[in-house]
Amino acid sequence: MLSEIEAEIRNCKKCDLWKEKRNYVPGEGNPKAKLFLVGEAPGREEDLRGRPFVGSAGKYLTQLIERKLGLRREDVFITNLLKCRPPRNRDPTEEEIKACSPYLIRQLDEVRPEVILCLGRHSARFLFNEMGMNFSKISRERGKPRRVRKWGKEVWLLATYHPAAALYHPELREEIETDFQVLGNILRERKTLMDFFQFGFCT
Amino acid sequence: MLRLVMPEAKTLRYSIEAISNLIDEGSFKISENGIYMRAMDPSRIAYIELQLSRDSFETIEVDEEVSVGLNLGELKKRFSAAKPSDYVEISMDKGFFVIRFKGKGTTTFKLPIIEIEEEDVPVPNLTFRANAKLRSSALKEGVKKVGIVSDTIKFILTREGVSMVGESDLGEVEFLLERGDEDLISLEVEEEAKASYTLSYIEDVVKATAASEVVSISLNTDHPLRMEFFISGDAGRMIFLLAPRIEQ
Repeated sequence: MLSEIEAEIRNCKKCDLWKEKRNYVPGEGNPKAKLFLVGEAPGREEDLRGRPFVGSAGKYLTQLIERKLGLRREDVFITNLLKCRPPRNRDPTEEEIKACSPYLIRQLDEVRPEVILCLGRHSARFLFNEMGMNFSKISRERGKPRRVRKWGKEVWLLATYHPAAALYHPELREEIETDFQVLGNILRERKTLMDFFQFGFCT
Repeated sequence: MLRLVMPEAKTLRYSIEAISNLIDEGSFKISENGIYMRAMDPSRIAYIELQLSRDSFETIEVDEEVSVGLNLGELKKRFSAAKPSDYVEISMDKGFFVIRFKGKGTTTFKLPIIEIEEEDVPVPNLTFRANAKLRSSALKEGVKKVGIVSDTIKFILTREGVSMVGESDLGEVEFLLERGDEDLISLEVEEEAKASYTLSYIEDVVKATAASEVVSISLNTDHPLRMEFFISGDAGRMIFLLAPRIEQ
């Protein structure tokens, strides 16, 4: 149950981040969401309010969800790789990811989405590796949906830049929005060529 | 030894432009029979295959078949630097793909060959009951006009003609080629067919029309679209398949 995972997160002391955080940020959204978004870690505003993506980057993300995907924020599930804010928004450490990521895995196992969108390089690297794929760098891997076998079905895994990156580097906006366009195509067009081909593989 | 010569850069330039919009990296098989590549875009919505037979080349000297992995975005940039009428010579040199253009002066680009993970790409085995052959310029025109109104294009093949239709909140548009129209070269319809596709994929691939005068379109209702662009008469072809857009 997602509520049980959330309760565990709210008592977590597996790494030192709990000491400096104001609130745990377990994540929120539709427990049966088709689309599952994974960011990096809570920022200042998220830490204050205990909810993911509620600052400026969150506002931009909500716009993308509504305008590019035609969904409401409550239709999707949104969380982060880390559930506590790292001091001064520094990058997550390997130890923190190792300690915290089992919560994310369990949340994914509960929701069993059809599409997972990694927002930023940290969540992308973690989830690509978790799904048995190499990850080089976000600029190279973004916007290319991968089919992975998970929960007995075909699931899409896609990475894009973290929405906060667009606030500091406006030139990335176009790329993020292109990636959301790809995501929109996936969500709308459930059929791919693989659904029609007679399977006979050659390389 | 690997050396291929084309009297004009336009065939490769426009083919690569179309492919590079769909995929980032490609592995080209080069042999004495010509150049061949096939790939699916990462979302598995589109498939593309390029065949340039030895007749596409003025000279072809290849000791043994090689697979050459290239970054298509970079390859496109190199070919964009060429004039369509430039003479082009391709060779390989110590891990580099060497492209030489002769037009105003001689330009030599060396592009690093990259390792590409070989991916299993299924062999498409589809049969179609509605087929049309039209001038590529007419396809380009239809796609352009539908794009004014919609980001989706519906192809309708009937015994009377070929329609490209767009619908959105902004209204509707239909581009029609009726049987007998000089741009509609042939039309064979065993069963009328219609299906919708994401326009942006088709806009990308019709860039190949600059290297092709004739295209065939094959369709079954709510099934993938097949387009085959004929390049330099029958010396080359680019095959493009696109999954239909079926609203859930």
